[in-house]
Amino acid sequence: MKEGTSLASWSAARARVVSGVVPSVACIATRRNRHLSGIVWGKEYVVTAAEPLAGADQVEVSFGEDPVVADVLATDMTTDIAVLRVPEHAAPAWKRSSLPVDAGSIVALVGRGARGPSAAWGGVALAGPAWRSRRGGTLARRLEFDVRFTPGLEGAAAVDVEGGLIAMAVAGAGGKVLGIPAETVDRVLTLVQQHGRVPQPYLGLRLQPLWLDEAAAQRLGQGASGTAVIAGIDPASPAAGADVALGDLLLGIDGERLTGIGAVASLLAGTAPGTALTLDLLRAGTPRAVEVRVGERPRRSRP
Amino acid sequence: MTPIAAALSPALGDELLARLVEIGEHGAVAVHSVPALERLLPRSREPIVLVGGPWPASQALVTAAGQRRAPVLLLSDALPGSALEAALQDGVRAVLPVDINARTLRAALDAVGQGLTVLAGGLRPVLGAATEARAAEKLTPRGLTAREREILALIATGASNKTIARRLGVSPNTVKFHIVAVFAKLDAATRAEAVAKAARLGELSL
Repeated sequence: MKEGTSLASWSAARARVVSGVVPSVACIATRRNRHLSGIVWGKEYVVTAAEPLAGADQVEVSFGEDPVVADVLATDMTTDIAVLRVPEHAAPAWKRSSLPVDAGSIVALVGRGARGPSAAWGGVALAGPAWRSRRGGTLARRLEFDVRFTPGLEGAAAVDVEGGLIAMAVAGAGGKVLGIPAETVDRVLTLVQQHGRVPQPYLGLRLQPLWLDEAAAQRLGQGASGTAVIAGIDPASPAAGADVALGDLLLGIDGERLTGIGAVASLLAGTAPGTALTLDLLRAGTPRAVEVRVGERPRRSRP
Repeated sequence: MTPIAAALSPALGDELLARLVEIGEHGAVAVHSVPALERLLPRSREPIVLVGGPWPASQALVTAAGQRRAPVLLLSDALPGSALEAALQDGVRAVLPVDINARTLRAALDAVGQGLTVLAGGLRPVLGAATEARAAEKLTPRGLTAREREILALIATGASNKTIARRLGVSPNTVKFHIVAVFAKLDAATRAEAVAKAARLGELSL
């Protein structure tokens, strides 16, 4: 085979991978005239990045033809996933990735902009185990891509060299390009189908950070110097029904030592409503274990 | 009008007295303590007190004069903006730079004698700083209003701006306005970041 021919076939193969996914990738326009991408996921759903929607409840979705208005069905702040309902669209044409995804694997981001489909080839920069984001979301895998990213590729499909879907691409902190794994999108979409929303875990505790000196930290068996004090209990919340008092120190949950509000928030975010948790409290110098069932954050504001 | 030079340091008191004499106030006297000032005030005809020395130590002199309704000229370069309000309430009628020249001191004394309040031009930045400090206070996370907390809690549920507006009975534009304020206060660029930061600061229930 001549060299030119093999380059041409390589190029054609790359284009084929992209064109196989393009029919399932939407262009999403917000009222602020921002364009990003979305992926058809199940018969009437399109998923996209939540943050760029900036609280919109309707967007325009197009697959290269006239745009249709779609409702933002639900957004999950913790995983940055927004679910849109697009009733008229066909089922997705993509298949799931069956290739191993490791650092160095080749990846393509396939999106759709206002002027048509777009693609960016690059590599997997990092493929790690499940992780909890700073926003508190639990993601099935840590995926970072080494690829030239544009705002229009937010919500794009990240596919392997066979066109198998790996993840949805979103902008991460510090200019990183993150992949929201397909498994995580599945989980969030299932919640939306069941509840019409993504229920957010909630205890009803208002916490304040507290710094312990070394002696106190040692006495309390806290490895680090930070802890949280219960500064408020929301009325009619799960905490209100439990034996929790103002001024209790929240040292840990379920035996896990927690060193501050961030740790509590992160642990709670990964806990489904309905789960029973044991709060390890310190009241007036005496440890006590208090059971509380995680509820759902109220969707109406309290008076 | 009887000008009184008041400073807790005798040296400074004498210096202020010299300045008053320099501008022709030959009947001026000096005191170096609060009790001395308190004794002198009832015995003086239309007293005007020129107070010098570091703030807030000199505040006791201002208060003593203020209680006897004697107008005060305060010589101070470093009066914090927040102290200025208190000083004006205490009866300070002029805030003047320490290195004030004789002509200006004369003018200030006459103006206060006529019932006017005099602020040196250089004080404007100080006032500005006070306003800025108050603005900065507002920008701390503790400055979230009840409404802003309410909106944050609804954002945390994934609610859209319109949904929040409906639940609170306000317009979507009002909601957006509040969200911009919340972002600024929490130094957050995104909704998720605002929620996460608010939770860490204890502004949002968990």
